[in-house]
Order: sequence, then structure tokens, then C-alpha cells
Amino acid sequence: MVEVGWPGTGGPAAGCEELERIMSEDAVDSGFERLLEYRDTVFLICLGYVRNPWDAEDLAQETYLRAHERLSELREPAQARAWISRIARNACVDHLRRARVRRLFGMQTKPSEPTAPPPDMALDDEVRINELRTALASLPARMREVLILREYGELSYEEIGRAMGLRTGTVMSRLHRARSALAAILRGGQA
Amino acid sequence: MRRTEDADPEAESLTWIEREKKAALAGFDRRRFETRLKARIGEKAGAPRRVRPDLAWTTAIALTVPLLVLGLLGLLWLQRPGRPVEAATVEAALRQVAGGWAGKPRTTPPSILATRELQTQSWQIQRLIYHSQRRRDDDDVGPLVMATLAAAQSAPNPAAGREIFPDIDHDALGRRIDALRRGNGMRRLFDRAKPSTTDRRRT
Repeated sequence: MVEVGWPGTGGPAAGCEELERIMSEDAVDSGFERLLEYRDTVFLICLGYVRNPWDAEDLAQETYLRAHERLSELREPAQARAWISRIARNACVDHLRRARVRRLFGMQTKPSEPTAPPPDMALDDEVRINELRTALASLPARMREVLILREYGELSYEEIGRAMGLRTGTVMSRLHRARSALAAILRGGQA
Repeated sequence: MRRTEDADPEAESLTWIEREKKAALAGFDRRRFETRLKARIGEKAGAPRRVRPDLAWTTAIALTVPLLVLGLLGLLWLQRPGRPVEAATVEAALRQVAGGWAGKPRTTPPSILATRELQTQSWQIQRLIYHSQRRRDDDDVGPLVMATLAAAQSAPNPAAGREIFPDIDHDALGRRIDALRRGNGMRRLFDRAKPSTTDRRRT
């Protein structure tokens, strides 16, 4: 516990303020520690958006930095996973938008590195995962995002709704269409 | 993907997503992630707070500022000093307006044509009033403008003048017009604008 001194010049009132400040800082720290439990979810959501685990880790870092800045905006701790998933989604969308702008102005020649699987992954698996990611990338953004949050982030329909600002029914129908479209692409047909 | 005909692509794709997730998580070093994150948070806390303007605000300001500047320029344009109005120009406008109604008896029913002519000329009259007021040269352009208004009041429909110039004190104007009518210039002007007897017979 942090020791709180009573400043001689400030008097008790100033001491109370100091105590409140430190207590609120402690609350922020403990809240943030609890948020860190969702680091796998955040990392996987980011992996769904970008094409390699290194970018995904950077974006997960960015997500937590943003979350730390805005922790006071988290009103319902029960919705923490949906809340941080929303921040992760926004960070990824911002990242992809910036990358698109860089490509547009010729600052980046390649879209981004393809998936680099761990060294122990079989070559055949690597090929299949790359095919899957290409199919996923060809889906319309609104379908892709729902699928990423559901399959990579493993969020519930309600949490996806909160993260994307959609109604649960919309999430369900969009998810159904996204799965069908992905299957059609993988089957070799049209989305 | 290479698969058999009866394989379910949807289920298969989900299986591959699971495998990809498992492989990625296997390479995800959580301890390193947290250490790096806390170091970055510590750096941020130590660094001076950077103001990051919200994009919506930036856009709003970017759109509002040019509009405000344009509005200000518009106001300045409206407040610009009036160009001197040539007396001849005023007189020509006056003749044009006065000529439309001179000689027509006041008992004539409201003439749509005359009202329209008056409305056509009204912008010019108002501009003359504006410039004469700005120049404060009542001795020069002012009486001519007053005469124009007198012509408007002499229209077949006397209410037309009031409709078009609602902000003017028409009672005071009437007194001023009477004074002007006693002067030679006004009478001469109306006399010149009057149609000849032959023209009157034709109508």
C-alpha cells in the first residue's frame, strides 16, 4: 500500500485530495490488471484483422495503451471484454486505413506481409491457412468484421453487437451470411 | 483448399481458423507482452501529455473556419463604401419608373403590369436609396430618389409602393413628396414623362 503523508502546508483537506488521487490511481491499476486477462482475445482479434502475429501484437499493445488512457470511460466492468474488443477493432481499422493511405501515396509498396506461421507448422497447413486468410480478406468488411470478432475473438453475439454498435439480430444474420460467403469462396464459387 | 467433394467448407474453414489461432497463441509471449506494455505505459506517464485532437473536432474546425472567413468577407463586402452614383443614372431610372404611370388616373384599377414593372425596378431603386444614404448627399441624389418613390406612390396601385418599400415612413415620405412636387424639377420631370394627348387617346 502506498504511504500517504499529510503535507504540513496543505492541511488535512489537501491530504484527502492526495489520498483520493492515489486511491483512484490504485483503482485504475487494478482495473487495468483485470483487463489484461483479455489479452489473448485482443491479440486474436488483431490477428484476424492483420496478416501476421507481429502486427497483431503491436496492435494489441496499441489497444491496451488506448484502454489505459480511457479506463475511466468503462462504466460497466461486466462489459469489459466487449469494451476492449471495441477498442481493438477501432485500432485495427485505424491501422488498416493508415496502411491504405500509405499505399495510396506510394509510401508502402506491398500490402503487408503474409501470415508467417510458427516454424513448427507443417507446410501444407501453412498453405491452407493462407488460402483461408485470402478468402477472409475477400469478404465485404462488415461481414469480415463480424466473423473475426466471433471466430477469432470468440465474443458472444451481444458482445459483438456492443463492439460494433449493432443489434444482436443483425449480428446473427450478418454472421450467417459471412459464414456462407466464406464457404462459397472456399468451394471455389462466388460470395 | 484441397478437399473432397462432400467436405463441408464452412466447418472446415472454422477448423482452420482454430488451428491458426492455436498456432498464433503458441507463439504469443504473454510475459514479454505485459513487460513491454507496462514499460510503454510508464514512458507515457513520464512524458508530457500530448494533446490528440479528436478527428471529428478537427473535421468540424476545418469546415467551420473557411465558412466563417467567407462569412466575414461577405460582411466586409456588404459594408464596402458605395460607389458614387451618377445623377444621370438616377434620373434615367427615375424616368423609366415614373414614365410607366405618369398620366394615368389614380382611379385606374390596380394594373398587374405596372406592379410588375415597379417590382422589376425595385432593386435598382433600393440600391439608389442605399447609396444615397451612404453618401449622405441628400441635396444631389436624395431628391431624385424621393422622386422615384413619389413615382412609386403615384402608381395606379398606390399600395404597391408601400408593399415594396415597407420599411419607409410613408407619411413622412408623403409630406416630403408634396414639398418636392412644389419644386420645378419634379414637375418638369413628370411633365416630360407624361404621354402626349394623342397617346392618352390611344389608350
